[in-house]
Amino acid sequence: MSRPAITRKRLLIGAGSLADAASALQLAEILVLRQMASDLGGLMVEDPAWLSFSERPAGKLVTFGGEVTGAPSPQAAARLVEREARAFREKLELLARRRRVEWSFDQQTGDLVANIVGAAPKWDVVLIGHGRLQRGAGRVVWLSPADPDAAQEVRDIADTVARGLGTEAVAFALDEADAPATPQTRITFPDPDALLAGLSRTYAAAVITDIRAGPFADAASLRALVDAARCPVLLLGADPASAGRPEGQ
Amino acid sequence: MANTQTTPPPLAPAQLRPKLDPDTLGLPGSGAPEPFEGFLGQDRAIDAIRLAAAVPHTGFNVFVVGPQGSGRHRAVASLLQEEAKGRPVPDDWVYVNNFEAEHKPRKMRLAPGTAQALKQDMESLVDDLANDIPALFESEDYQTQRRAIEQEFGERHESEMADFAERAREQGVALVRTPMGFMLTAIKDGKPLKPDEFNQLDEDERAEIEQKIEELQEELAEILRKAPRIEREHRRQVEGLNASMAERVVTTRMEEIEARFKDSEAVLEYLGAAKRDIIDNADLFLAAKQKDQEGAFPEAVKQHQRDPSFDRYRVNVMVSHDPETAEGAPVIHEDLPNLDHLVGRIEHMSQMGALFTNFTMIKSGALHRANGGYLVLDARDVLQAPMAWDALKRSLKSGSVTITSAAERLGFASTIQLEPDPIPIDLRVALVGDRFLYALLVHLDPDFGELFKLQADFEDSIDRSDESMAGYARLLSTLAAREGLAAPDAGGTARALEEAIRLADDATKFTLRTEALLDLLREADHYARKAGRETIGAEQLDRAVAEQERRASRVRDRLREAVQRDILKVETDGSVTGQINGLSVAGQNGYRFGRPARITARVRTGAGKLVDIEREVELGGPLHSKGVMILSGYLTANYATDVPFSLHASLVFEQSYGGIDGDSASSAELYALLSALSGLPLRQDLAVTGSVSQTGEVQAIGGVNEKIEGFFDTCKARGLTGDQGVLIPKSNMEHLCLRPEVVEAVEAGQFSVTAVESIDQGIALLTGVPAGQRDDDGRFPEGSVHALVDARLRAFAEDRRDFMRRTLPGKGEEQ
Repeated sequence: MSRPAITRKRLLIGAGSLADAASALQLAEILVLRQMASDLGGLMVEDPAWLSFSERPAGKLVTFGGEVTGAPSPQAAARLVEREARAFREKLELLARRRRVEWSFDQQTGDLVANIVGAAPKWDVVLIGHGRLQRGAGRVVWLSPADPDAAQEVRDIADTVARGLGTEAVAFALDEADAPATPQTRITFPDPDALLAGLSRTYAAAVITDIRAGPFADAASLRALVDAARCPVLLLGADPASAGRPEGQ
Repeated sequence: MANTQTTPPPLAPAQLRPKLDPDTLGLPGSGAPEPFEGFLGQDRAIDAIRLAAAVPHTGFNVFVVGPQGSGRHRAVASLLQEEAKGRPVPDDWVYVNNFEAEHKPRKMRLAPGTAQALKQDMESLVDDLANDIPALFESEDYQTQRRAIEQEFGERHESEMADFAERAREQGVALVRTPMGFMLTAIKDGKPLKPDEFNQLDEDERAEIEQKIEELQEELAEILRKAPRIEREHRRQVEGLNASMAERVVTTRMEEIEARFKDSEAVLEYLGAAKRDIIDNADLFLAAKQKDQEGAFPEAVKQHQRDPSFDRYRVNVMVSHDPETAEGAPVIHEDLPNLDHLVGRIEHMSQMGALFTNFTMIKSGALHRANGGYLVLDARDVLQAPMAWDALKRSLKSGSVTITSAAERLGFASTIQLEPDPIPIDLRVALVGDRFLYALLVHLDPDFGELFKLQADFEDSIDRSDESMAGYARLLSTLAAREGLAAPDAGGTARALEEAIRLADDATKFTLRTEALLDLLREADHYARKAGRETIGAEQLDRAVAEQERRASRVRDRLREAVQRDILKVETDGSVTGQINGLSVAGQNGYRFGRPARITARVRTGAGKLVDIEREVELGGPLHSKGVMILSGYLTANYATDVPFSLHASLVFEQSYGGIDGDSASSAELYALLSALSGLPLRQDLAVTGSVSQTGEVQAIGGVNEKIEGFFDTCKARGLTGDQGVLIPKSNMEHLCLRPEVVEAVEAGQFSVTAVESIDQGIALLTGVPAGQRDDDGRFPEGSVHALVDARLRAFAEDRRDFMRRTLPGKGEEQ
């Protein structure tokens, strides 16, 4: 069945921190420039889980620079989240003005992936932000679905993002049947766990997948995908006809 | 006392003005004479200049002195040009960037005519690389290699993180990402344990979990700390890749330039340094590409070498000589020899309120351009320009040119300046100046003698001889031809030569101030052409002389008018005691004229003081004062020597309100004094000029022609009586070159010029009474001038003695 190309170009960016948002905004700008997105939405999700961990008296954290330090107090953590939300909003607004697109912003509490999946039906494309530890470009990984039309769509977006980042795109497929027909860098995995294991060792700039097809569709599997990718994840197929299935389904 | 007693007769007309016969000039009957090559009468100076031009040793620079208009500049230019033709074309000099210390630009010597080629080669290199390097970094080959490196390093870190996450999971610990970093927490049923859930675990289990978490935290911290090291290693590999890729491209392009300059070690060394720098700064070319893409100009034709980012690869040509077109060594005339023009300068540009400079803004000076050849400068101009003389000396002493600004030399520079390598110089300097400047430099500048060992002294005049006359005639013809003037015919040439005698102020010489003669020829040429003539004749030159005088003689004419109207008192007949017509010369801008001036003397008893009124009111110069003091010496030595000198006399130039200097009127002053003392009146139809010695000898003076003519004109305006004339020193006879009008008047017996050797001769002519000479008893003949003077002075002494006796009893006898 042929799928309609994206005509409504509404892009939602979800993030749990400013670093996560910044990496996603960079990709969003590429999509906007190439007219693959025209409305932008920002969603800051405050995870109560890490706020509660900071309540632990002996709680420590390891900074991104490799220092072991005490966890902030819940109040300090809450203030930090507020500051980051404000900064995310400002950056989104700047981007929207720069590129002359509509924008909106919301703040929620809960699990990032679950909340994004919940908000996804109102958006055409969803971008789950994830800050990257390394500064280099990395490759754009796209998960090749079985459906050729869907595969083409994902591939096109992957190529666009790769060009925008000055890097190359690589396809991850679950079996040969899913592999793209045309020659391109591709890696085949026997199962989703192997794919995730391979992804976690890949130097990736972004991961692109269509949640209407492929094994990563529900919140749990998407969470695992985000954890393995350790980079922004772009979700296609977030329309009402095939909204992301709730966890466990 | 001079013992010449007989009064000399007036001079014959032939003695008053040399007359040149056109037929004796050695000119051809028809056609132009053979051109005169070289320089007339200047062998001494020419030899000095030729020596300076040829001798290889340092310090043999030449100072060219001589009167203005004597052809010094032309001679210097011509002789140096002649010598320069036989010399090799000097090397080119450039400044290039010093990649290790940019504030110290490097000099480089290149074979003649190759500097421009190197400059263009480097510009082309930049343009080529501005396309090649970006293309290289955009190539698939580079991108693939770059991505491979990135992937390798990227995946190293990602793998470590992935392995860690797996190990943590296996130990029941989850990695939770927070805005500030990672938190490690125990997992239960695949979900992180909340704090209250964790607190419900038993103590041992909690301890075990905390222990595991602590160990894993350290492990994670170590992984994260490694990231910058991995990043650094990654960066080095990429830099290495960039360098090796860039080197291929740069080497290929450089090979062509290296082949062209394979014989120059200095250039090859520079190209090597430039290559290394280009490779290290390949991003400059990428940035240029970026600018191209944002600009409007087509990339393919854009001249990147003009981009200031690439200034570091430019070649600043300081001096270049094309051996195909250059005729030997350079001869440079610097008309404005200030500091910057001599040694060069370093320009600055203002950017964002600060001054900026680099080696491309170094500009050459005359010393650079003359390197290997000759530099001609006007001495006065150099000395007047601040710090120029000092800079010139330093350069000659050190044998190199160091470019420093005036502010730096004075220690005022507060910004960082460039320190370019000094460029060695090998040249000869010819300074053209006047004798006064030369004397000052010799006496006051200890360096001068060491640096300017040669003096080229141009003569003011040349002795008259058949040979010199013939040569001068040819010279005049040559000069006229060179100026595009009509040729002077024989009569015109003879007239011009007579003028050359007049300008020399000496009948035995011709002036060598040829420029003044040339000016006359130019004016005469104008009159000749107006008259439709093809040659310049004597008539045209007469007119040029007359017109020149007329233009300059307004002041003279006003003074004569004042004399005519008896505003300025001058007697031209009769006789007066203690009064005489002296003669002086005045003028400006090269024009001189003579005029009579009344000199008076008054005498009485006194204490032996001779008052020079001019000196008393500071109108008399030192030479004039000296002349007056000599009169005292004459009087005290010749008269009443056995009694105290008891004269009080005063001398003055009547109606003179400007400065007076020189001693040419001292004989006239003495005559006036002798007249006042003797009581004998002096003829007012005679004017007198001549300085006097203490022994009464009448000595030569300057401007004798103008002085005679000045009195002649005054007498002529009132009507010549036939008795009027001028007494001049005999030693000035050789200088006589009077106007034809004066000579004609003498021929007609209307005027006379008499040459005297001594005061005795002069006083006899002026008073009509013999001067007198002491006999064996030491007495002057009775009634002679000297006897009367002697008697008067004795009387003064007696009067003084009597006065002293009356006023100071007991003292008078001793005095």
